[in-house]
Amino acid sequence: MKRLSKGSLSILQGGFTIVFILVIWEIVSRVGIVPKPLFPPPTRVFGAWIEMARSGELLRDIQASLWRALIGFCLGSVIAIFVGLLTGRIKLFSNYLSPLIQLLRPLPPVAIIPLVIVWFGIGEVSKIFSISFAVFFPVWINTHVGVRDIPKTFLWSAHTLKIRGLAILWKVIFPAALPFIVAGLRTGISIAFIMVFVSELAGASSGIGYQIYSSQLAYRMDRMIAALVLLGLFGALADIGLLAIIRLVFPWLKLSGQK
Amino acid sequence: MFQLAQESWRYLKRSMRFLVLALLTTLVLTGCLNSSQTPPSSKVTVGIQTSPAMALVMVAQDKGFFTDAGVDVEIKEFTAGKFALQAFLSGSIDFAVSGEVPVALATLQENPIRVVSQVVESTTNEVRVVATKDDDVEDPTSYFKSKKRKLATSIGGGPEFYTYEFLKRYQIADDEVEIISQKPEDMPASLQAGSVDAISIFDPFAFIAEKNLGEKAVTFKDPELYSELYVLDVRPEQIEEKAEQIEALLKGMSEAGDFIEGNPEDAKQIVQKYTKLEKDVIDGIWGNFVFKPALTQELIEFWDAQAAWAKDTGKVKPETPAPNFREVVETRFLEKVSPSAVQLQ
Repeated sequence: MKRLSKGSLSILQGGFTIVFILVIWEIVSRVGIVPKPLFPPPTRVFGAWIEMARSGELLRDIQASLWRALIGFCLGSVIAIFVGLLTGRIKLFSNYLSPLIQLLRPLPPVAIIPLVIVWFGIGEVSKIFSISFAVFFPVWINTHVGVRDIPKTFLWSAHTLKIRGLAILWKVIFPAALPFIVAGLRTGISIAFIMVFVSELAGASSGIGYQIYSSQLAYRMDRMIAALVLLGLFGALADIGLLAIIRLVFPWLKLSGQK
Repeated sequence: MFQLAQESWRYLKRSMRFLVLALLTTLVLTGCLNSSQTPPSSKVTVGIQTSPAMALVMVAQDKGFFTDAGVDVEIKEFTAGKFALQAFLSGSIDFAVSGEVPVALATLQENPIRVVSQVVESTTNEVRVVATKDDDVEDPTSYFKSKKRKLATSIGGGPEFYTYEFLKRYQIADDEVEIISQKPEDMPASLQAGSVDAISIFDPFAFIAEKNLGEKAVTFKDPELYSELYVLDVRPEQIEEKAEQIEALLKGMSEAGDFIEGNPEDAKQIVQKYTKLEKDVIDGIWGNFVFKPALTQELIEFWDAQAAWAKDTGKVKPETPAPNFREVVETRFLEKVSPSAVQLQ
């Protein structure tokens, strides 16, 4: 008897749950268990997507949010990896920088937004700064730990093979720390999308976060939910995209769940 | 193929049992939480914005006029009336006082609301545009057409509607200005820092911005354009179920209106206690409000204009029928408490 492959099974199970939830949601809303204006059915949410696509708002808001998330994520990650490589390998850098970073790390990124607005205004700079700031910490800590805890045998072998200077960084340290760095990047990308939403609440005229907020205030719950689903979807797709890029650039890297 | 379908059906049946159980548990818990949110009937919760516009409610509460009238009121404060209205619609509070614009928007989306009174008989220039002066340009059309300006406003409320009417009146096209959404309390600092060129907002933030900028500020105001009203919101079923409490609220506010008229300085002190605003700010804006419960024809006219605005700006679908806003207003309570205050056609 032919059994379902594990891949097909997980897709089937995941798809079933989503369809089941959508059906229950549609029934609960239509029957009026929860007031329909506050809890529109998924068919109306889908209609809101169509409406926003026709008016051009959907494309405008997706472009604005994705651009901010991408720039903020890349900036925060690059700086974090660079600093993490330094603090993880060079004691002097760790002594000077780690205490400051550890002091700033527990600060909720949302809490700094009023300050960032005062410093940078309400334009793109403040939004990208907020996103980069939030992304920096998970990427830094993972890079720092990954670099610091490289097995000594790797480094001894490298010395034995006369690998020195930047070559040891590129050929030994970075590859060994990469699983940790990837874990940090995956956390960072989720945080980037959270911060995109938060930063667009304070001084924006476009973006998915702005759409969520303005729809809420116009009591357009269908549009609000449509924008929320979109935000979650892009967050998930961004994670999948990140893993795909990493697999492409570093095909030898085994990520969790892979055999 | 048939075996594949059989296998799939077996997995579906197993998954279904678990998911139905999870859903039932969620529904039960939701029901329990909702019932626990409803406050006991001896006390009513009223959501208000922490703003001088709520003076009638603040004075009535502080001086015990609500208690004297026979209702025990707990005030819940929100940063904006629109958030009080949302809490009211979700059932977290019994009543809300909000601007009339959020009520129009909520009604257009078929949310059940009734308005039993305004908490201000009228306001004057309560919403206005405050801008950073530029080469002694004092006329709004020249100011906004000289270059593309950033104009911050609070969306979903009176300021956004005022902005729409303002731009239309002074023939400023959508592409000649960038409208930015900001919280009211952030706007004065934003204007002062130069992040935006102008703000369209209600008092006290408009006044605070004027005060902070001093000579560098220019205010564009038009008393005939629009000035926000604030209303007491109830649910349709409360008209019968909470009739006594509603009447008592209006009696309390009517007493408060008389008190404010006779004792403005004491009233200002009470408002200062609630809002933590400086005395000179309250003094500066006090004259923009007439603190009396009322129901005026202006309210209906504003709502009709706001319905047109909502359609024009895509806040509602074009096919949404414009409601008869006169039916949103329930006059019987105010007619009983203060018949002359009902000025509707």
